[in-house]
Amino acid sequence: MSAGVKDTERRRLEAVAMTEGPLDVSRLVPLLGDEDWRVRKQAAEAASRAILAPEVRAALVAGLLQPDDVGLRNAALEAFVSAPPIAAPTVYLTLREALDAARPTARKFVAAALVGAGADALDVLASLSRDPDAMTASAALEALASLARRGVDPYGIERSFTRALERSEPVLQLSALDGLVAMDASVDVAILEPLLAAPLFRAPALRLLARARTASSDGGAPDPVSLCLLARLPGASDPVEVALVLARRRESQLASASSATRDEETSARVVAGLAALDDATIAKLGEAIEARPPSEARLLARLALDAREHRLLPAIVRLGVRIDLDAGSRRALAALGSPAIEALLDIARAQIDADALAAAWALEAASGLLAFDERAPLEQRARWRARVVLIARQLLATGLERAALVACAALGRWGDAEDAALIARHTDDHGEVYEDVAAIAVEQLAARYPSLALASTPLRVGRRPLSSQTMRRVHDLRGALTSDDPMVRARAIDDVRAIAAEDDLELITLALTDGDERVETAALRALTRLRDPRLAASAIDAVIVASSSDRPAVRAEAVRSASLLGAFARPDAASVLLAALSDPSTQVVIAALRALRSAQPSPALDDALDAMLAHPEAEVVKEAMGALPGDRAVERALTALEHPHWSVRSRAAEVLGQSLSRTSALSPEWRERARVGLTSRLAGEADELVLRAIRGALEGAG
Amino acid sequence: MRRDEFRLLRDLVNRRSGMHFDEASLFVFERRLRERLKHVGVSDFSAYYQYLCFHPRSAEEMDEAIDALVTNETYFFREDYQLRAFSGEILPRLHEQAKSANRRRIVVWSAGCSTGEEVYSLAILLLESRLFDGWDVRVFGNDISKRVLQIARRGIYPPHSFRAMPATYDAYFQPDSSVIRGGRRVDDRVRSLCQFGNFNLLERGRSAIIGRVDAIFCRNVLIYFDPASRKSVIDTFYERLLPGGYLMLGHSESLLNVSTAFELAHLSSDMVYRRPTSALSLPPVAPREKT
Repeated sequence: MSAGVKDTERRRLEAVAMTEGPLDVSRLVPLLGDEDWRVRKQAAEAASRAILAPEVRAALVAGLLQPDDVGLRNAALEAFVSAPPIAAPTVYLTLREALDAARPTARKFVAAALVGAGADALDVLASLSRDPDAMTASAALEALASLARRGVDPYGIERSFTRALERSEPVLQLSALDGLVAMDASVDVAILEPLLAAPLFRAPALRLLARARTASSDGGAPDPVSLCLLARLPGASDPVEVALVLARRRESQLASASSATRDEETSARVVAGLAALDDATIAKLGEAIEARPPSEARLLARLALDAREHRLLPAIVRLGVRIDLDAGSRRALAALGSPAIEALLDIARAQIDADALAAAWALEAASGLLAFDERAPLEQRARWRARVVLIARQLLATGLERAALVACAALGRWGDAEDAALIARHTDDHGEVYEDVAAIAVEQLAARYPSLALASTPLRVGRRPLSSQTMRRVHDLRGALTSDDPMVRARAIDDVRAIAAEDDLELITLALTDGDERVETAALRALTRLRDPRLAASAIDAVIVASSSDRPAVRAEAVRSASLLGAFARPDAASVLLAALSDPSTQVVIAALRALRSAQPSPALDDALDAMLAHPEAEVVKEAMGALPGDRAVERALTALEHPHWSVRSRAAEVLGQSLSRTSALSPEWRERARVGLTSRLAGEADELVLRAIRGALEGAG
Repeated sequence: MRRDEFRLLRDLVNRRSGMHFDEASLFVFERRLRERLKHVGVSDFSAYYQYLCFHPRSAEEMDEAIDALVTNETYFFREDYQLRAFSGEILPRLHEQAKSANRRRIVVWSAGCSTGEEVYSLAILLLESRLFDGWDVRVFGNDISKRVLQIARRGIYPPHSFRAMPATYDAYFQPDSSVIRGGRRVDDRVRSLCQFGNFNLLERGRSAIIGRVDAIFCRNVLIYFDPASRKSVIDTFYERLLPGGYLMLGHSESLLNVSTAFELAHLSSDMVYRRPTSALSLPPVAPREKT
């Protein structure tokens, strides 16, 4: 094809892609395999936008699975990966089918494409990350890393990466480490420590080590505080001096591998020769943070924060009042996450009368952590919020401007409607800076409590009337929801990035009665983007109602949403989960099985899982096996080793392998039964893939 | 349609929707469902019954069947005497009630809203009253039929939908012949107050999603329900209404033998039901003197 013809072709394609209405699929499909990469790229974009059309998906799957044309495969892959969020469930179902049809060597491409299915793909990717084929598993891990960057279920993805660290293939271990580093994950020290020995893994492992958590159960793992803070360097005995030496030599910055690995030998020595800090040492370090000159105090504070040493927080708070912390310390403070919130709030409460500025500093830090770390359960977050509000109200009354500014910001973010008047009342006590901060805080409150913006006598902060901007957002969503086009309504809901206001929640929950499956599932997905813990109970109630919809897709989405909202920790929601497990739709059953991860284990659930072993769908049996860990799970996996479908037997071997791994909490008796079961199956198994899975499980157990 | 086929279909519709049809409805069933037979490709009503029971698309088809059986005819400002009472007497009371509860929000539910004319009529009355300027105002309409909700959401109506509407409300509509010749489109000011939902009034859980409301209009809907279903729907209304909230039924409908939880409120041109409250400090509604 000449350049001129090709340009014409591209222009045509562009025209096809930009045209409203149905796409000419017969013209588009050949262009996915065009010899010119620019044409392929543009075709992939057009195909991605039209991915809801079955014939487009069929062409993309064919392109993805064919063995010869790399350009076509990449175009198909790109189209799947860039699929719009609304198409995610469809992309998931398509690729799930494609996975079963794929040649063994093509499964990795399907794994990579599953990124386009978003959160729906999480479980299948987690499963593929345990695939016997290292390339498929590696592709799945990379796909999971992409999903993590999109903010999808960090907990689940972190688990998959951690599990992959136990594999023997370096490529997988490296992929997993890279993924964990990118997520700034907190991994057990016991898992990381052995990896330090291999030069290939040392850099990422060290980087993770500084954010590591200890295994609380057996007490055998070293404390990261010890690892990072109290290195017994030759010739140093005073912990403060040791800490300063470490800080100066940048060994404290195990948090950033680049600096730590410049001196790998020392770092390894740090890791090897540590002991836990006692309270006396902590007290000594605390005194030093408060008494030393700013440069040294900053270094020590940074060291303590890198080490996640909460016992030194009071000293760091008082230092923060005295001098500005350096940028690294501020980042390390933010990285402390929700475990530090309680400690900071205790400090704030204790300091209100004695040192209001220290209280303000601690409250600001706690409020920041509460805003950006969403890993804590919603109920816990609601309790913290209430404490933040209470302390902020007290701080506002102290009359100190700096404290008032912090209190204003915290109340704007977490306060109740009546706090707007409280904030406005203090305008005369302070200067213009307070007026600025107060105006922003009241706007934030008005966004959550529309009555403030709609009041017949609108609230004023100083001379400033409240803007109507906060109400516009709600009105925009409302306007879109009145559309007669369900795609517009669904898209409007999908565009709601976070539900932080009661008004938004109400609009979204009403959409659960829309009648259109796309709108209702979009609403269920949106509910999982809840940002205000106070709204959780209402959202869960609505999701539970939706779980009885007559449409399987809505029921399945409701179960997923309920799980993400933490509903299954509620006793009244357990029946919903049990009902979903016996749903006639496989889609709902699988969603329920995946939701079991967030459920409280119970004999009823275990009984339901036992019954699932007889389910006609192999996919259901596989999900059921890994759903709830424990002795009964091993029993189920042992039974499933005899299942007629090879993929079930393979999965059973994986489950048993996981239960035999050294991080498993399985009893010795069941551990032995798992080993015996796998060994005896080894003799009778004919399928090569299952045999590999069994051997892998037994090797992993040592 | 044989009588046994009619009974099977009638009972199935009753079980799924709560709607009740007596023996005399056989011909209505036959006439209105015959089209559906052709549509789903079955030859007789027995096969259609099997389809409704067991086909993977049975839920969707049941929606269609119910839609065919129900009369969805409505128009703007229907039964205007009641709307006048709502506007002139009930809205001021609801305004006072909300203010005394420190609420700046009013929600009205049109239960069984059909093609949406009632929802928009109520929204217009709320705007016209000027009592709720700057308040959070919502009118929610629900119906069991997706088809009628599609029309409601479109918001474009033919000329005969306006046959009872006073000309003073013309400003709330714009000419729009895009889908209907001589059609008129509901203004965005009105539409933005309205939202629609698809569910059966017997689905208590889904009704709960609406939250608490100040007034419910359920006119010419209860006639389709059997006594048990009617009782259930009225109980739902009671639960959804805020204390002091009003329930408006069609002119031929009453709560006689259905529920004693509501109290009767006598207005100048109508009688409506109200959820009682002891906490309200409003003057009681004076009973009409007997003549």
